[in-house]
Amino acid sequence: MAYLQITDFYKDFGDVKVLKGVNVQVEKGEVLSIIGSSGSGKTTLLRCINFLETPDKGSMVLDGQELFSSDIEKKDTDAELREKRLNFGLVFQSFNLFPQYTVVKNITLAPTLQLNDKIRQKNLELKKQGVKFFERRTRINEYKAIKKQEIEKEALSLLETVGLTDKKDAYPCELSGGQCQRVAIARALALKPKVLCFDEPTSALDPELTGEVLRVIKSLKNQDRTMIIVTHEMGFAKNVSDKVVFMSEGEIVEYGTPEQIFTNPKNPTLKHFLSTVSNKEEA
Amino acid sequence: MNLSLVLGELTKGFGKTLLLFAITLIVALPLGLILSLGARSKFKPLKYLVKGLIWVVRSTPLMLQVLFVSFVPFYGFGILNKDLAGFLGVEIYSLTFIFIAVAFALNYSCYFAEIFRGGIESISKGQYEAGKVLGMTKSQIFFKIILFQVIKKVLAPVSNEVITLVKDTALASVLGFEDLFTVAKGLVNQYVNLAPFLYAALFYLVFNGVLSLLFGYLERKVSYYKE
Repeated sequence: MAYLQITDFYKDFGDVKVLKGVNVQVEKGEVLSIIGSSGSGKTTLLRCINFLETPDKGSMVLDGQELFSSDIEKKDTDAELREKRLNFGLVFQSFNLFPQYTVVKNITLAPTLQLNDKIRQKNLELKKQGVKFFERRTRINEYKAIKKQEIEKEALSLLETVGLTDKKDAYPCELSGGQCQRVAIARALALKPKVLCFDEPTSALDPELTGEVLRVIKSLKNQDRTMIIVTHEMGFAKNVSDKVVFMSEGEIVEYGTPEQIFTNPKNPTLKHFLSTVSNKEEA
Repeated sequence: MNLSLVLGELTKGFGKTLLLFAITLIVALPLGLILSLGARSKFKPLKYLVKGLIWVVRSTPLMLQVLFVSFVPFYGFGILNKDLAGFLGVEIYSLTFIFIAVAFALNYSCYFAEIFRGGIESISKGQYEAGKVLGMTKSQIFFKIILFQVIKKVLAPVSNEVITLVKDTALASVLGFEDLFTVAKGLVNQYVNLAPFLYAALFYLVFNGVLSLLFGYLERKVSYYKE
């Protein structure tokens, strides 16, 4: 079985059938691009993978662990859902940075909140072991200081990865769109997701700013990260992907290597799609 | 007319006005936040209960509400104010203040609730989703991400309400509460002289001036970022 195996995803919004039995496999370290015209269900598929939507039917297995199955009646508790979500990172089309926090705080916020949870647990454990209050407090404070430093260090090294070390104390409103998206990527990476997903990461950007974001994504590929990218950038998809799927009307119409999809497309819908896209690029 | 005596009386009245003002805010701001969440609840009965309350409170005069609250113990439950005050262990005079404060807090929390609801609904869905995919709990998302952005958005309308509240405290005179306005009115009658009204107006003016400066400061404080 593949590293990430999605089987038979179905999703309706009212009368509209958005996903009609989608199957996707991604191997570890592989980059999968999802292409297709608007309304083909690409984004919905990505949102289902990230537990922002619940598929009506289907199942998902990651790294041998079943994360979702519509056969199971029991609904996940909030805590279970959060844990499952953390297997994935998601970079949004519109960045969704937190405007009131600096760049570095945007990155450290979620890890710090997780650390606080961990500290609460650790405190309880120590209490159970009968460690006295003051002793407990000293040990917790030491632990907290070390971990906080680690989180900070990790955030700075991520900022280096995306080339924004000098912007660490800036607020999102002071950054360009491309810089915002790079921060968003660093923020998603800070939680060490097994699979990093991108939802049209360059669609909200001015054309001259897409390059810097695409370069960062490409550098992540060189670190063998497993990634799923919904994109309209055909050249980029061709360049960076190990596999490409073409979606149309809620189904996967063609699946293959970039060569197969872009050089030897078989499906007529895909052929038509590629010709309209390349016409646009030439125009 | 003895000026220092008059000013002394007015200052005492202003103290009472301040007390009502402060208590109303202390109760109504958090209660308004709770009501705004209630008005957005997915649990329909709660949602419509809160919306109904907000509708009634915003549609009727505050003065009527003050009188209504003060009549509830007797006309609603047949309890004399004297007995209620005894039961609560307070003077009749304080009981009057409690009635006024309850009506004011309820009234203002409904206005705040609508302001907060507007603020909360203006935050994009993407902020919640970003929190979700980062593994945050619902309360972490609300308190660490949403709330501050809401506060920034509602500061201006809230400052409007707060300034209105300063002037609305004059309505407490309907139960004979000796706030600034009531005291001024008494002095005007006593001395057959309009000056106490002018002095009272100065109190209101200066206090609202200070509040305007304070809110201006807060707005500058949170303007370090834009959306």
